[in-house]
Amino acid sequence: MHGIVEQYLIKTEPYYCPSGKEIDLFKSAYHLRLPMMLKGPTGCGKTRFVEYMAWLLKKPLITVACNEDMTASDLVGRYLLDPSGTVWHDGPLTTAVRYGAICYLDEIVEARQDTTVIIHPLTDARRILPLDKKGEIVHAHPDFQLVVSYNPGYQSISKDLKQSTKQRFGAIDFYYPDPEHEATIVAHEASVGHEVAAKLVGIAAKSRALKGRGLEEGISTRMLVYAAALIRDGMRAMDACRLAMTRPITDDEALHKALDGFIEAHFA
Amino acid sequence: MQVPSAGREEAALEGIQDPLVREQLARKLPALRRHLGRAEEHRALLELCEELDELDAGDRLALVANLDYLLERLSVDALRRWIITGMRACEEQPERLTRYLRLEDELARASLAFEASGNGLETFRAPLQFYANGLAGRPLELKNRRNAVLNGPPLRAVITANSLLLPEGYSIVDGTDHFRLYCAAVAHAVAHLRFSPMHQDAGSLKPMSIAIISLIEDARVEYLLALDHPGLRRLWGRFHAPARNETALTFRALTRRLACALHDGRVEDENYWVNKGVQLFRERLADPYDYRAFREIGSILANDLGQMRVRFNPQQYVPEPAYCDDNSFLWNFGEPQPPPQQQEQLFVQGVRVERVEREDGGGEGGAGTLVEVEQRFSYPEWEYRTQTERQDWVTLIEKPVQLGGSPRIEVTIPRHRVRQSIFSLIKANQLSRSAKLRRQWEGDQLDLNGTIAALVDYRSGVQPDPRVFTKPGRHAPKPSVLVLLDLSESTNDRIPGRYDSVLDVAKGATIVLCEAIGEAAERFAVHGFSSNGRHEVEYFRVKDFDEPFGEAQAQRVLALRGEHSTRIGAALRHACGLVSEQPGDHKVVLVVTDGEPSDVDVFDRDYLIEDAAMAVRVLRGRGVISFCLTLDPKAKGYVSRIFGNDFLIVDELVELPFHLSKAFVKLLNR
Ligand SMILES: Nc1ncnc2c1ncn2[C@@H]1O[C@H](COP(=O)(O)OP(=O)(O)OP(=O)(O)O)[C@@H](O)[C@H]1O
Ligand SMILES: [Mg+2]
Repeated sequence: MHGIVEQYLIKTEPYYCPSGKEIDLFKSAYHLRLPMMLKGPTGCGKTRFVEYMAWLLKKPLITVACNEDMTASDLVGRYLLDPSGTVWHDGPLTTAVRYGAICYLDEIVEARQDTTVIIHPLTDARRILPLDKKGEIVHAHPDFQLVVSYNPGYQSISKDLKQSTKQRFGAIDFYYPDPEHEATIVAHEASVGHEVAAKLVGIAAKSRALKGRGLEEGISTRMLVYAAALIRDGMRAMDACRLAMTRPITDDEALHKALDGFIEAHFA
Repeated sequence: MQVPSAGREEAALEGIQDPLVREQLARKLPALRRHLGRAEEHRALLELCEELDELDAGDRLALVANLDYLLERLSVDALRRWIITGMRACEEQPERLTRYLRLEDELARASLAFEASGNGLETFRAPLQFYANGLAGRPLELKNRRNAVLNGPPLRAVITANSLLLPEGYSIVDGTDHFRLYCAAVAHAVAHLRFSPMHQDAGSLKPMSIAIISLIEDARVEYLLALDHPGLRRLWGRFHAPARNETALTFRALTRRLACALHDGRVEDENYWVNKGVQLFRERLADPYDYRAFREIGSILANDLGQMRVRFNPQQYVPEPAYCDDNSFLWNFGEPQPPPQQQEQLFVQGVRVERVEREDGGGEGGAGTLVEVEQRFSYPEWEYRTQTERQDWVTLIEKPVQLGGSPRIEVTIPRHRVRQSIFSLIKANQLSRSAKLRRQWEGDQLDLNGTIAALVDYRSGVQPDPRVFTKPGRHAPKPSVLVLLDLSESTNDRIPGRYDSVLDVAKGATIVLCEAIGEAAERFAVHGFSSNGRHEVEYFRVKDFDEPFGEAQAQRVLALRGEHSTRIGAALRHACGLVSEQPGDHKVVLVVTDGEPSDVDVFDRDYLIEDAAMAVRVLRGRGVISFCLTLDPKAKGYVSRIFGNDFLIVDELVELPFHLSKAFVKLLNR
């Protein structure tokens, strides 16, 4: 393995609690180097899953968080200046392609469409990345795989991937784990008792019933882990749940009242 | 404000029996008017006065004398609750009631302050609705149950499989934290919905047995729900408090004591019967899911009461504490139960639409009409069987919106939430979107990519591009959105269990959206259509592009009526022409409809669907995007044939304002 990507190897096993066949599915997809799309709401474990898979497959993992202002150069690289003149610097995607890493583009829909199309030649049979500015064509390393995450969210009318992008990927659906698993995860991640974790999961389940009926998104596993950690460190449950769960998720007072009601129902 | 004329008013007073009250009221009404906002309030007050026959003559007059003071603080509904509270609290204490109505009693003032601060269901509806949906894990519609008689027993909640009727208000004697009281009622209902068998055969059970079995069932389902929601025990416990000091041996007192003891799980009551009940209950908790076993306890205890000769009056009995439901969910009494009358008086969630009779009947002044004369247009239609276009087949007539004649509808949005979330939605998406303009000649910040490119060119001896700045600017091409409302007859359909129609909700949603988007309203038009055969497709330009949204425009939206049918293709083609005239290159027609295309002269179901699909293709060809919000839950089959993927079925009517606004914002940004 090339030294440049070796630093991206994940040394210790990340904690990942599977909720279905996703590990086997991903393994088979990687075997074919099929580009993969992980779909699901925020904070349900997609990032953790990729980390786990990278560790399991013993491949380096390069993660890029996409945003609207990201340009193609931010992904593939650009010329920079140094005392002797101009030098080319590979962007994270190019590094992964050249030296064989898993490249994880988080929240790919956030990137503008002109940015997304640069992955097209990489994700079909060609597996190449043309660097226009440099006049180079990089052929993908055999270990390279592209993984993107994607939150279908509300009836995505405007922010949606083009069909020509979607159809280049295999996809696995993610959702919050079932209550039993989710409580186990929260208990493990925040080192709290199972009982506290189960209560937090109960509150989250109620908030998820409000998705599309007031809440844009339900309370995520990530939020539960935060709240649990605060409780572990001695914060009152009500305060912790407000701070880490109900206040960040919405500004609506009526929703706050209802969510507080759920907290009260679980924590006597 | 619309005020009935003097003549009508006198006639309205006829319903009041007591001549003294009638006389006083006639004298006072002009002064009271300033407290009575809408004509409905007016009517409600007169109705309330008619009901005052329940009171002593002296009390009646005292009350009427205080009306000015009371109505300055309370709505008529709240006043009604205030009187009911007095009658309940002063039961069998006529002197105290007299003092109460004269505002000389401590409770009268406390209850007045309480009602004045808004503690009814409407105050809490938004958070409660969320609470109910979340706790039930599915939509559980909350409805308002109005107290129909002044002197009746206090109201209890009514549970049905998909909705929950809650009393319009509890009284201060039920507890002081009414939000929590409503929460307790919702949680109690959810417990029944989850754990109680529904509509058990009451068979030959005596009313007393039914009351006691239901009480035991209340305790059982609460116990079960509290297993993983321990906080609910405390919530319910708050409202058992008064029973803890109860010592009487009446049926009401004993059952309150039993309910409280079951909740607390203690056997220290002084009463043998109560203790026995708790004992039996605790023994059976080994299997709390065994409904039969618990029902047995109820029978045993009811039997005991009979032998103790405790009197029971089923007419007077209401389950306690106040958060309990009326038990009708549990029982089937043989004959089909008539639906509770209150169903008709339900309040509407979300956008509240109220009808106001227009006394002056005129549509003049202020609401200037947009289209002064009718204009006719001809459009082709697509005949899918022959795959040909019928030229000049349809006549579309642009008509001005008729303002007079129909009752004016006043839209109020009690749920602040609706508006607020739309505002924040729109703010977050910044309709007049600012953006960073790259590669500018001048600006405050360097454009990283541009600068590097320039330096690279410079070093390599090439003439660099000097545009290396970014500056804040606006996205130049502003999109134009035309909202096209289906105004066919079917939009007049009442929504089950509510008193407004599909069209009312659509109007409310449109107004909320127009008001919320403010300045951006100029990029936005509202048109409507209906059809009466191919020679008469009516088209109304309710609010046009470049027209700000103000009172006159709102009036026009409100004046829209649902008539005739839905020949959508022609309307789409016309809308397309209008939106195409707008500057910029981003144009959208957003259709809001409630059913499939149809018309009186078309018998082939597919014909208008295929024509509409063709119209959508024509629009797309001209660079106009069409999107459809439909309220027809069964639309899936045909709507996708017309609009492809560009549609959304809104199954929850209440959510229409959100969906309309969301679709609008998303389309603007597409
Ligand atoms: N199956 C799981 N096993 C272990 N931990 C999990 C699992 N699911 C969720 N978590 C916990 O939830 C947290 C959030 O998950 P993660 O960061 O992977 O979310 P995500 O789906 O990538 O969200 P986003 O889309 O916002 O990036 C993790 O840090 C981890 O603590
Ligand atoms: Mg009950």
